[in-house]
Order: sequence, then structure tokens, then C-alpha cells
Amino acid sequence: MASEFYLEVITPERTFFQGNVEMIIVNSLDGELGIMRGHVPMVASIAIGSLKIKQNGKWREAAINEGFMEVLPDRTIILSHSVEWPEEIDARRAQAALERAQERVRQRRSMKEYYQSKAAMARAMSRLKVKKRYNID
Amino acid sequence: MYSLVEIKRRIGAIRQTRQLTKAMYLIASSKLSRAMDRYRANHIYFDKIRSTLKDIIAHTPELNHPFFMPRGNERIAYFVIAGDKGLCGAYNHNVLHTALSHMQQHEGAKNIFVVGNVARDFFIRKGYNVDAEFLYAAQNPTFYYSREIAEQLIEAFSQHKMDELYLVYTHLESAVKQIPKVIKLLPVELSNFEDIHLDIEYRADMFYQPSPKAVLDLLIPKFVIGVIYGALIQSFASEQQARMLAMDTATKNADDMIAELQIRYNQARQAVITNEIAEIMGGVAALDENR
Repeated sequence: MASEFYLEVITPERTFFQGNVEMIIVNSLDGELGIMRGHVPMVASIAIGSLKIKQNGKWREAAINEGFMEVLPDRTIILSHSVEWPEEIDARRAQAALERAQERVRQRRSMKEYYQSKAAMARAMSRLKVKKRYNID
Repeated sequence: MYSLVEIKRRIGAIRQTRQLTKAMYLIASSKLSRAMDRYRANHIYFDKIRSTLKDIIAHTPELNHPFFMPRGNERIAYFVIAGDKGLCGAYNHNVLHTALSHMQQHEGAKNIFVVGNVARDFFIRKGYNVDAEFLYAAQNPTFYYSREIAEQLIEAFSQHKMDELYLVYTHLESAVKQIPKVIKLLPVELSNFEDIHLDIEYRADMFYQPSPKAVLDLLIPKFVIGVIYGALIQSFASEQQARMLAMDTATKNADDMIAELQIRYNQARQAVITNEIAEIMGGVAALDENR
């Protein structure tokens, strides 16, 4: 039995995850970051991508929006605007969002809008990726 | 004593008003149950994001970041959340007067951002300039709106259009108690979080991945959005609660008035009947004498 730490994943709309886990892997701004018990206290930004959680020897994966986490030796808090399990992702909606964002990027509007559209694209793509990996339907 | 017709008309009028207040009560209570669901889902995030930030500040000795630099208090901006409509007891009054008394304690120029029609009218009446209105957000607080609002406020702060930013909203203390609250949002200082108690104590400095600046650039806007969203939700729930209570009291008062008027109506009717009988008896007696 590997040593565990307490993980909380919270979004403005709900508490996504709460419990003891063995390890998590998130995308930070510059690459993947694995957290286990006894990590040095840290604050990290989380990039749009996937959140992998290992609990009772099993890995689960969720799509995560931008956010940040506070890591303490025995507990970790992740705060993000949205986190979703594969079964909660609406693939059709994500696909539509992706196409909308691509269209906006093509239209080349202001720099601010360009970044927003890029972020929307990244969100949609990470959702689709996680969805595809776990649900074949 | 009023005449029968007058009393009857008054009872009718009060019944109509009662129907109205009753309906408003029902609407508010159904809106409240939805607002409470949202509140319950959100308040963990709201508390957590503030305590996390406090924790970070407490464990980071020097924060050289524009969001943390005190700039004096020459120009203060307020973001005030109130309702779109009245008829909700003291809800609007409480939050607006809390904001006003805070403003009067501080000299210097003020920028006012408001949510809600009532708030806008109030500040205009008091002779303040309202810089921006987010009128759509009072009735339907969504995450999307809060992001839009937060982006505007952060942009104004980054462009040095304000020195300090305060948020005034109604805190949902319990099912029957709402307290108007003033929180300082920007710049971020340890004293902004005095109401939060940290549950863990440790003495190590924080390590930032990838760098303090990169983390804080992302964290502070998320913090502002999160707090604004939470404040909008709590204010909305408080408003519905206040309205429910006010309308419930109004309905009860209407019931009392109707009951009292009904008694008076019965008395008046009885008096009319007695009077008629007396007249008839008088008439009969007069006929008997003539015989």
C-alpha cells in the first residue's frame, strides 16, 4: 500500500473530488507534474489539459480547465473553473465549441480575442481527447 | 362606522394585494431553492480560494507583483452588488448604506461599479458617478458574467485607473440572516483576509512552479473571478430570502387586515338588520295604535 495524501478538487459549481489518493499528474504551464505524498510546499499553475488521479491502484483521468493548485506535504487543493470526468463530457458540444473557436481564430480579430479563442480551442480539444480515450461510443 | 359597500370594497382591494404578495412569496421561494443549490455548490470554492490565497501570502515573504503593491488610497473603486427590484425588505437598503458609509469614511475620488438597478439609482440620487453598470447580472448570476466583470475590473486596475478595489455584497450568514460585507479585493494584502481562519499551520516557504510571477499572473484573476461569482450568488440568494420574508410578512398582515375588516363588516351588516327590524316593529306598532 503506497502512502496517500488528501486531495481536494474544487470548482465554482461543485466539489469535484475529495479523498485520499496515491498520486496525481497534472499539466503545469511547462510540462507534466506528478505529485505524491511529502511533496515540497508549492503553488503551481495548471494548464488546460488532463488531470490524472491514482486512487486504490487505479488511474482515472479528467479534463481540466485552467487553474492552480496548492501542494502541501500531506494535502493538495486544486482550484479550477471546470473539471469533468469523461462520462460527463458532451462530445458534441465540445466539437461545436472547437469549430466555433477555430472559426474565430481564422477571422483574425484583436489579440485579446485571439488568445481567448486559442484557450477555447485548447479546452475543447482536451475534453475531446479525454472523452475519446475512455468512451468508445 | 363605514358603510357596508365601502368595507366590502376595501376587503376586495386587500384580497387582491394579498394575492399579489402571496404570488411573489411563492416565486421568491422557488427562486431561492435554486439559488441555495448554487450557493451550496459554490461556497466551498469561495471559502477555499480565499483561504488558499491567504495561505500563499502568509508563506511568501516578498511578493513583487503589481497586484500586491499598495498604491495609497487616492482613487478607490467600489463594486457594489444589489438587486434589480425593491419589495425585498431591507436587503437593498442594508447593502447600499454599508457601501455609502464606507465611502464617506474615505476621501478622494471614487469609481463605482454596480450590479442592479436599485444600486445604480441609489448612487445617482446621492450624487455619485456610476462608472459601469452590470445590470444583467443581478437576476441570473452566471460564471460567464462574473468573468466578464472581473476582466473589466482587473483591466482598469492594471491600467492604474484605481488604487484600491472594494467589493460590497450581502453575505449569506444563515437561512434567516444576511449581513452586508465589504471586502478589499485589490491590491491583495494579508489584512484583506482577517475573517478567514487557516486550519493548518506550518513554517516553510512556498515554492512556485514555474515562477512566482507566472503563478500570480494566473492566480489573481482567477481569485477575483471566483470571489465575484461567489458574491453574486450569495447576494442573489440573500435577495430572494429577504423578499420571501418580506412577502410572507405582507401576506400575514393582509390576512390580519381582512379578518378585522370582516368583523367590522359583520357588525355593520348586523347593525343594518337590527335597524330594519326596529323600523318594521315601529311601523307595526304605529299601525296597531291607529286601529
